[in-house]
Amino acid sequence: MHERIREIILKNRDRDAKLLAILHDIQDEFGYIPQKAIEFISQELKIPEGEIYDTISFYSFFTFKPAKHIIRICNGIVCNMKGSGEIIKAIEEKYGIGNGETTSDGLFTLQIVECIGRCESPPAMLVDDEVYGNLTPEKALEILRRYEK
Amino acid sequence: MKLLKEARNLDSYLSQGGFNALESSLKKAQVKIIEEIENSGLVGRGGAAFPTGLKMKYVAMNSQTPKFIVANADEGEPGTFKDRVLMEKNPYRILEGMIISAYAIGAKKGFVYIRQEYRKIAHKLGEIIKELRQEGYLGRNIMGSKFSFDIEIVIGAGAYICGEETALLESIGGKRGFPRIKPPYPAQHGLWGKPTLVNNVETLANIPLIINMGGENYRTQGTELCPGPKLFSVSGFVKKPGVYEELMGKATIAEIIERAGGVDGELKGFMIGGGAAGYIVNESYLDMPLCYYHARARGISLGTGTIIVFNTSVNLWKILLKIAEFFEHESCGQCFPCRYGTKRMRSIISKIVNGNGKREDIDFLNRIARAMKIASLCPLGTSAPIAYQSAMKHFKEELLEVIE
Repeated sequence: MHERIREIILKNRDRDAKLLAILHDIQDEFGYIPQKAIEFISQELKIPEGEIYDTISFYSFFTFKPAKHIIRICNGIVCNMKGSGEIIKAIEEKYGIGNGETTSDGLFTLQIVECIGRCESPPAMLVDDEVYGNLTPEKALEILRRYEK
Repeated sequence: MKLLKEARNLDSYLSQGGFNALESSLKKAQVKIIEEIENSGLVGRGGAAFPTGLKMKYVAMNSQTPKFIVANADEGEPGTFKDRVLMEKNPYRILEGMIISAYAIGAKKGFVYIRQEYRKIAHKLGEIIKELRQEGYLGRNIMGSKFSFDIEIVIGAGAYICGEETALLESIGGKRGFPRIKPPYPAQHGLWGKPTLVNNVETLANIPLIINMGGENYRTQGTELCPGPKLFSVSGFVKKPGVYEELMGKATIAEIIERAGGVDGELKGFMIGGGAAGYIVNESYLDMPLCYYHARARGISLGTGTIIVFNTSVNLWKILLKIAEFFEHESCGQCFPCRYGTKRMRSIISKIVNGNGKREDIDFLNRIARAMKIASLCPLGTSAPIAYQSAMKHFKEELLEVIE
């Protein structure tokens, strides 16, 4: 792990805005921010661990628990008006997880989020970086089934 | 004059006259460019409507170096998606506007701060920046001039508050996105304490238009008090939700709803402004021309240009609850009036939605709203009560119907 993190830090060395970029790469690589990573970043960048933790814990994108895919269901005003509640219910029931929880096999973490800026096709969700709009409960479950492989 | 004119690649942008504005700018004195922007009457398109030229002047006049420029692409107001569509359609013009602005204020480094929910667009922008470096529009000695400038992309990590400019600067610095107390403003004390110009991406896309047509000429577009084009995000109960471009003051709310396919169902009202920080108003506003000036004159704000249409199936208390939940979740927790106020507003509205609303709850809501407006540290706290207060003004009877 140390080697991989060192590579990530090296990759971002020319940036002025280093920390967020490094944390994004680590989140992508491991599916979460491991405690070890915080220690390594602290040593390499000479920032106290507490400060790094302070930053990580502020942003909802960074997680401390591993998950292969993150489902972000938009529950902003527009999506909410157009039935995001039903989508949320369907996913919660199918996978047995609530907001912020991860399936026991570590496949999905569910996040109910505010507006994701896809208000022309509500209700919408993001699975990792992929956007899906005009959802129905059936369509949402069908999309997620594809990620189960 | 079309902000939304599509440029899929550099060649197509160049064939539309892309980078002509940069080329001519690099031959001009920096103060001349700022003068042009000031003469154009352009105001910021991110919600606050501050005169763009004046902001540039503050940064340019500051003798401290280095200076920075930041493009705010952290669009997060509910119902607002115009920056996303603009970045998808024509990312080049935004970057050209950024390079020209950097030259005008004397910045050598710029950042595009883009929300994580738009990460695919961020990656595309990254590719374009590489391409522009290869083609000599970025990097050392841009277009053979003495001016050197480069751009770094910073991807946010899921925090609405980072759209607030000082929180955004903290975030670029790798910190929690806590807003700073203003003044000092970013023009005096910005990124790493240095003078920094923060502009919304739609604002930046206007810069090449102004340079190409001249400030005076740009000012003749739209209305005298509010010149230029503006993007509007229209969503909710309309048949063709989307982003629509209009010259300021030339279309009314009714007309833009028509462009968006008309109301789906029977119109009840709409929310206008900056998404959650928007005003809930009734059909008496349908004839309002869409521009900052007219909005202010009618006691509301155009904000980011967001219009969410409600039909008669919409329950306003539920909308208010949704908004209250939003603010409770997104309050950064730094200052007490906002941290506590958003929580209390949500719990009282929740009680009302559940059918247990009493007269004193309304009095309490009104008191909290007032306190938050007076005492919150940043615009998040001061704007959180707007939806409730405006709805109470325009839909009082309906809202009080369910109160004992």
